[in-house]
Amino acid sequence: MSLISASGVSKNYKTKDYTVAALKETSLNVEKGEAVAVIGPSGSGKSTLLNIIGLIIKPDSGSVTFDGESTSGFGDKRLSAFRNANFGYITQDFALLDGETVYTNIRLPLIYNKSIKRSEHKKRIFDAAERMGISDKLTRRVSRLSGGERQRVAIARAIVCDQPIILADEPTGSLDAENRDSVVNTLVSLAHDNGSAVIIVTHDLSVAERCDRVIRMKDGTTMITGSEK
Amino acid sequence: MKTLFQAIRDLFRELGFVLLYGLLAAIVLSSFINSVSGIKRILSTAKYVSQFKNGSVDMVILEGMGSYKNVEPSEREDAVPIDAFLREGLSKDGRLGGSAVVRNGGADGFDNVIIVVGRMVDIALDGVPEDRQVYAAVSHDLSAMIGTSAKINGNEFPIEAAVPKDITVGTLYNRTQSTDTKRALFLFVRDYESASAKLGISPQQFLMKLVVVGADEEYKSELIGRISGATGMHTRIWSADDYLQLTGDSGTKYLKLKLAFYAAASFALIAAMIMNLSRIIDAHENDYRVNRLFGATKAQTFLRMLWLAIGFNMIPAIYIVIKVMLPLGWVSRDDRPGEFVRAIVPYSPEKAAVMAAGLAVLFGTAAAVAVIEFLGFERKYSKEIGRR
Ligand SMILES: Nc1ncnc2c1ncn2[C@@H]1O[C@H](COP(=O)(O)OP(=O)(O)O)[C@@H](O)[C@H]1O
Ligand SMILES: [Mg+2]
Repeated sequence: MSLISASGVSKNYKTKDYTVAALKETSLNVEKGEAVAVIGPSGSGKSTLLNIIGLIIKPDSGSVTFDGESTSGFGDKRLSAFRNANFGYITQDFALLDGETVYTNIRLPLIYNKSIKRSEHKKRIFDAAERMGISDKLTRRVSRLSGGERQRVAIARAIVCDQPIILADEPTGSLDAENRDSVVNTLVSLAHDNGSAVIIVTHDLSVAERCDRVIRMKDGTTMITGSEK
Repeated sequence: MKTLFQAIRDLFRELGFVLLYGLLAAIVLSSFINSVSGIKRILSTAKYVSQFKNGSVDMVILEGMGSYKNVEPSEREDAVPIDAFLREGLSKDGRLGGSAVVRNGGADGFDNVIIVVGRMVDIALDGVPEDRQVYAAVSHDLSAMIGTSAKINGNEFPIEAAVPKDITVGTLYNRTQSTDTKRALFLFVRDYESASAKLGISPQQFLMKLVVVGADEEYKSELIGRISGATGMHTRIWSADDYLQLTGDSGTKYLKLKLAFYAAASFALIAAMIMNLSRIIDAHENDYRVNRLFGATKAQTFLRMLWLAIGFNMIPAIYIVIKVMLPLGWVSRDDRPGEFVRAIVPYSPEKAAVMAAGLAVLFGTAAAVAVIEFLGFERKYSKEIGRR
């Protein structure tokens, strides 16, 4: 059974004047330890698919299961806890708390996590920072950091609870080539070394090439799946 | 708890605005509340003014030290002594009216006996029967005593009614304090002459709160001459217009102006609060979004906004409560109209009610802002969080 299984997922965005069919009957399975790239032209529904898998938005039809478990009946509280424990989100704009330190930013998922003890927080934050090579910057405000450093903070935050699923939407979109390569290396190694399921939405083919599998999307559907490297 | 601490941190990041708004709101709103609780005084003054104007009632004012002597100061042959003059003036066809408060020390359940005589009877209370020598009534708080009788000077008087709560039996410049009209027995006497022996009263008791109704200049000057002659005190007669001219600017008119000003300022403040609060919440939108992404529930997100909105109003709220509970304030002096002194202002239910209303408006508005901001945030969040 796949760790992530989305099948027949559709999503329409309704605005006042028109309705956009962002996703049409799309399916995608991702296994543990697998890094999957999702590519496709702008507006093809990549972010929508990622947000549905990440339980940020609900599909109009179709189902998403995790290890066979459906979250469709979850209330907000349970859903929030589930997202907290299972997903590490990484976005193009980093989604950091700008006024806060690196330490506080990495800690964020921990303060909402009920199963990790408080006494473990410090060690986990240090370990995640160490792994991303930013342990000397823990007391710095994130607004003072460079783009590459900020994205490393975001990745440290995405792994601090040992989240089994990493969802990255254009994680390298605002980075230079050097930072891009190191971020991609890290994300791929999270899949291969940690056994996480990693989904990377990108329009950068050199990023997609590094992944185990590439999913191409067009007009709201996945075109090619399982293009094993 | 977590959300409370987050909100406190959010507030500290906006400390400048919180303090500036807090201090302004504290000053304006507490002044407004104090002024509103002064409305009752304006209204009772206004009632007096119109009554005194319509009935051409003038007030007799005595100033300075003196000693009362029932001797005739005038050289004129036909002059009658002061006591006789007052007695006649306070009687059925006379032009004088007055009131006196006699301390009763709680005997028979009355702290005070308030005697209202002559023309003052109809000014103080509507509907006192024409045919009664003495019409006895109790203060509002003692209305259970209606039907019993009161014994004064060895004579029994049936208690027929309770006077309204807001009765005032003085004059504009010398009003009976509200405390005097509680636990009190009121005796209304139209004709001084026929009841004075029964009650054991003397006319000079009414000198300090004397009014003269529909009198011509000749009568007024005779009244002044006799009173100042007998008491050695400087005596003047004021009409309601004189009173207003002397005190209107600093008293009633001033209070009205103040009220209008504070009302406008309060509206501006509430508007400033709404704008500031939604600006602060908007400024934290990214924080809320990121927290929501990594595990904050809807309830936690809303609570964080609500705490912020409440915390934003903590300074004025605490200040207002302290101000109302600490009974110190400015009151107008009864002996010097238009002058205000720092004095003990008793905690009153009216003041507390106005305070409660003020706090309800403050926190109600703040909570409404939090609700609206939260709904807007959720609508946006569900669409945009992953797209940025
Ligand atoms: N909140 C929204 N409201 C309306 N239309 C939207 C919204 N989000 C996305 N869309 C539309 O849905 C389509 C797919 O969007 P998206 O999933 O963001 O594509 P991609 O990430 O591949 O660029 C696009 O046409 C986009 O304009
Ligand atoms: Mg996108």
